[in-house]
Amino acid sequence: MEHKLLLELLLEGVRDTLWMTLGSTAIGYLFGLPLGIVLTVTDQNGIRPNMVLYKILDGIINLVRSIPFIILLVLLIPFTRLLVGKSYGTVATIVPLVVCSAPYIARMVESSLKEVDPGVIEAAKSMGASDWDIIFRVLLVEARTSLIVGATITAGTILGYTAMAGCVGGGGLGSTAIQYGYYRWNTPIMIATVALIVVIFQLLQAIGMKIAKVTDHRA
Amino acid sequence: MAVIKVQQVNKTYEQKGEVVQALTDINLTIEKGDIYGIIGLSGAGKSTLVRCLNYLEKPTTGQVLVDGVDLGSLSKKELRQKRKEIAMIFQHFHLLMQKNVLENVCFPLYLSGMKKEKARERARELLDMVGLLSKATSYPAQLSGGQKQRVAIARALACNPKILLCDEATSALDPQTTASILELLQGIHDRLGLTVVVITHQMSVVETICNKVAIVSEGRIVEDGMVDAIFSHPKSKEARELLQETHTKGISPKEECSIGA
Repeated sequence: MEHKLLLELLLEGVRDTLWMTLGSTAIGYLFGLPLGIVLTVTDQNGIRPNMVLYKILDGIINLVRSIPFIILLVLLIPFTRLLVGKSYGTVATIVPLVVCSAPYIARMVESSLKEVDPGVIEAAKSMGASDWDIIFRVLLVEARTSLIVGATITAGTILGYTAMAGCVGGGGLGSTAIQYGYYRWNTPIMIATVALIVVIFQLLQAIGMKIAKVTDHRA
Repeated sequence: MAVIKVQQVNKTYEQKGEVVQALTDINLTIEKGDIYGIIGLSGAGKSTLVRCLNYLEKPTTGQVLVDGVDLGSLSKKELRQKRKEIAMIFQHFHLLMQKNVLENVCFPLYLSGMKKEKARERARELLDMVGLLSKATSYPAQLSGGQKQRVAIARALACNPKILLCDEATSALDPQTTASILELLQGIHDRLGLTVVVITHQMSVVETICNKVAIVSEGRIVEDGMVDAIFSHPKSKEARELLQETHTKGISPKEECSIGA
């Protein structure tokens, strides 16, 4: 009986953790990817420089990124409640995770896109490519490997954050570790959750890197 | 009729608060069917000049007329359309590294809205023309420099341009490969009746394929005219220096004659 409950608890934790990590990463990219593209395009060496827009976005991103996640979690409670109706549980945790990850993702995307050889962009321009063509047919294509590596790193970071969200009533393995392992001094559960988080992290990392490698044609 | 007419072009940059004069009073007329060499040492402004010909660089003052149309008078969209008539190849090829050879050649066709099947068919023809059909599914990283430049040439010709700009197209290649690329360019010129502009710092390149040449030094054209005339009677100091340099390197015995004359 005890064992069955334990197993159920851990499986539920794994499910919630994966759901939070992958869901937040996906929604984070929904905001972060366009933001990163805008940063790249409007930077002074971009294809359509716009220093005012760049500085505004740059400032907002730095502001959000400078707030420690654990504080952001608490700060965003009213906003989360407004958005999903409650401030605890798996779904509610996704809100602060997205707010925290979107600017981080924007930066990752920006640095990936800026690695693209300016010569290739120039060549595309010489062929009559529009800014739109350059974004979708050159930048995102040529930076693909770097973008996938970035997404892998991001997912790993968010996985770490989901554990933190356990402190303030989020779901997943982090909350299991805190509630059972820490508050109830249940060392085996503590060890099991940590081991599971490590395994999930390794899997995410391995899968991401594998995809990046297989889709890279530069060598 | 002049295919390209450059009138009183000046180009200045601002660099860290300082104004740099890249081009001064450039006047140039390139006729249909010319293979026009623009030669000069690095930093002379020839790369800036060639980029003015398709408005990748906008001249600060002056006009660039292509087929009688002032590029400065075109809207963004019209300029993009016009650029499809002015193809360009580069020293470092600038191919898409994540796309295979065939897709690289398809790239400008897709930009023109051509459907995938038709674009691939056209790309195969072009690859056949540059002798690389067998490499259609290879990626640029798997090709030699000469092969990459052949792909770039196929890509440049995809949309049937009237003008081909070559920016130091053979400078990253060894002499043998250079010769084969120049031969290819010459053949394409003869067959398609293209107007070709060749930017280079190698006199031997000008000698091999150009009929006319302009010598650029410190952002000015110091001498221009028929290649034969300039090779036999260089008027400017820069022309003599460039000829001398090639001569002492002993690249071509033909040049010895022209300097001796």
